[in-house]
Amino acid sequence: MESIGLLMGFEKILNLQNLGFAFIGALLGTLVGVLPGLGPASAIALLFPLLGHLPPVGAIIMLAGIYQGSQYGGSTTSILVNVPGEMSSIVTCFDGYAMTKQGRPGPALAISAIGSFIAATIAMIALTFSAPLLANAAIIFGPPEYFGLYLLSLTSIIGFSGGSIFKGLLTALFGLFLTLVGVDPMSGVIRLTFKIPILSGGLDIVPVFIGLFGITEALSQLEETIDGTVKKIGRLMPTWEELKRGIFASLRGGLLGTALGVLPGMSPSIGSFLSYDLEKRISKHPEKFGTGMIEGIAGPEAANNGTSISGMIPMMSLGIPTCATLALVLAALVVYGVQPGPLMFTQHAEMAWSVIASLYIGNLMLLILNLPLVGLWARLSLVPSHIMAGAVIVLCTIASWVNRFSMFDCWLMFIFGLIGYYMRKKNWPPAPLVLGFIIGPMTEQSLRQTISMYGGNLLGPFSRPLFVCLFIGALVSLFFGFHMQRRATVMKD
Amino acid sequence: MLPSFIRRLHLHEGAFEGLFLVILGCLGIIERSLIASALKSRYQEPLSADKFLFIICIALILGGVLWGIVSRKAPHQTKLSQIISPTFLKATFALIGYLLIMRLVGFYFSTIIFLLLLFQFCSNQKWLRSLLLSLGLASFFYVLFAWLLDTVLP
Repeated sequence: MESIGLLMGFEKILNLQNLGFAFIGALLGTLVGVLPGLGPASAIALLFPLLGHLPPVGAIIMLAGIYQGSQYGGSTTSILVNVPGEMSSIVTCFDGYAMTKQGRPGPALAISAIGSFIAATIAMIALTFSAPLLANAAIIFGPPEYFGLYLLSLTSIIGFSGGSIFKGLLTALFGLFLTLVGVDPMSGVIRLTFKIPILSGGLDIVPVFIGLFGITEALSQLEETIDGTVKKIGRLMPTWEELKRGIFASLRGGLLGTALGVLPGMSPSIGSFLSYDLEKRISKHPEKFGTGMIEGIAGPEAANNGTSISGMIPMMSLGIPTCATLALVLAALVVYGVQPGPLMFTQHAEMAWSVIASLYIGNLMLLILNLPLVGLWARLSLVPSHIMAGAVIVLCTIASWVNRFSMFDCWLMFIFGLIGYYMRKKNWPPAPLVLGFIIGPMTEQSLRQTISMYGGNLLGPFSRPLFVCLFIGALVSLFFGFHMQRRATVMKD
Repeated sequence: MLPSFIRRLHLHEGAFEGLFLVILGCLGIIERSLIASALKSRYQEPLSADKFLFIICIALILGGVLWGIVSRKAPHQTKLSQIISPTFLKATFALIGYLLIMRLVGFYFSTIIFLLLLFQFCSNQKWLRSLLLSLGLASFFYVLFAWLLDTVLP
C-alpha cells in the first residue's frame, strides 16, 4: 500500500517542471541555510512569497527542497569558516573546522553531504512506512485524545526547548492568547479585535512568523560582524578508510536522529549533540575528537538530518509539528490547502505522497548539487552582515505585503520582529510561542468539544485510557524538562 | 548614544515582562465582559468562547505576576536600557520610516532610501558605495518581484 502511494507520488512529481522546482528549492534553501544565523525556520519564512506564485504541487515540492536545503546548508560554513549557519551545526564546527585547518576541508564537506544523504534516506523510509500507519491509528481519536495530544506537544516543546520551563509556559500561553484574536469558529463571536475590522480574520500566520524569525535575525545580524577567509577546498573525496568510518557513523547518527525526531520538542540540535556524544563514547580514540575525526562530522550531521526529516512523521500523520521549523512547514502546507493530520493520507493522498516523494527527490538533488557548489556557498557566508540584514528586511517586507496586499501585515511583521528580538536577547524560547500559535485553535476546539461531550464534567475524559496516557505523558515531559533545567543550573553553579 | 528617556527606564526586566502579560490578560478580561452578553442568546456550551478567553487571560495575569516576583530574585538583573543597542535603535527607526513612506513614494524609492540609511547607520562605508549597493539591491528585488514574478508592489 505504501509502495503504491509512493509510486503515485513520484508519478505526480516526476516531470521537468517539478524537478526544476525541486532544484530551485534545494538551491534557495541551501543559500539561506548557509548564511550565518539564518536557520531553516527563517529560510521558510523568507521564501514564502516565492512559493505563492507556484501551483500547489510545485509549491510543496519547492518547500520540501527549501526545508532540506536549509537543514544541510548550515554545515558548509561550520566546516569552512567556523561559523555555524544554525544551532544544529555547532557540533560540526568541532571536527569540521579542525579538518579545514589541516588543509582538508574537501573530505569534511564530502562526508557531511554523504552523512546527511544516508540519514535523510533512513528517515524518509521510516516516514514512508510509519506515517500512514500512525495516521490510520489516529482516525479513531476523538476530541479528548486530540486534546491530550495537543497538550503533550505543548508540554514537550516547553520541556525540551531548553532554558526556563516557566518562560516556556508563559510563551506558549502568549501564543494561545494570540490565536484568540478574530472570529471564534464554534460560536461565531468576534474576540479581541477592539473594533478593528482587519483583525476579525485573526492574526495572519505569515507576517507573524516572518517578523519572529526574519526580522529578528536581521536585527540581530546588524549587531554582529563576520570575520573570516575562505580556504581552498582542494580534493573532495575522503580516503576509503575515512569513507568506511564515516558511513558507519552516519548510519548510527541517522538511526538515532530518526528515533529522536519523532518525539515532540526534539530539535535537530539535540540530535546532533547526542550523536557527537555517542560517537565519542564508542570511539577507540575519544581524545582525538575535536582534532578532525571523521565520525565527529558524519554522526552529528546525520543525526541532524534524521531528526529533521523524521519530525515529519508526527506532523503528517497527526498534524503535530515537533519543532518551530516544522510548525512553519505545517503552516505553509495549510496555506496551500493541505491539512496535515490523520485524514491527510485518505483525503489528500495524492498530495501527501507527493510531499514524501519530493523529499526523496530533494535529498538526491542536494547530494548532486552541493558538492560542486561548496566554494560559492562559503564565499556567500562572508557577505557583510549589514548588507545581508538589509536584503533580509526588504525580502521580509515583500513577503508580508504579498500575503494580503496590506500594509497592516507589514506593521504586524514589524511588531513581531521587535517581540522576537526581545525574546532572543532575553532567552525566551520562540518554539512554544510558534507551536501555541499553530495548534492553539485546534487545542481550544478539542477542549471545548471534550467538555461538551461530558456535559461540563472535567473528570469525564479520564475514563478514556488513551487520554489518560497522553495526559500522563504531558505531565512527565514537563517534569523531565524541569529536572533538566535543575540539572543545568546545578552544573552551571 | 541612547536617548535619555530610554536610559532613565531602569525597569527590572521581569517587571517589564510581567507587566506586559498582565496588561494583555486585563485587555482580554475587558473584552470577555463585552462578548459574554453577545453569547447569552446563543447555545450555551459548558466551556464557551468567552470562558476559554477568561481562563487564558487569568493564566496570563497569574503568570505575569508570578514571573515579576520570581525574576526579581535572579542574581544578574538586566535593565531594559541594556538590551536596546544604538544599532538596534537606528535600524528600528529606519524600518519605521521605510514602512511609513512606502505607500507615499512606492516600493522602489522607499527601498533605496531605507537601504541607504541602514548601510550608513550600521556600517562605516562611504556614501557612494552605500548608494550604489542600495540601488543595486532595490533594483534586484524590483526586477525579481514586479517584473519576473508579476507581483503588485506598493
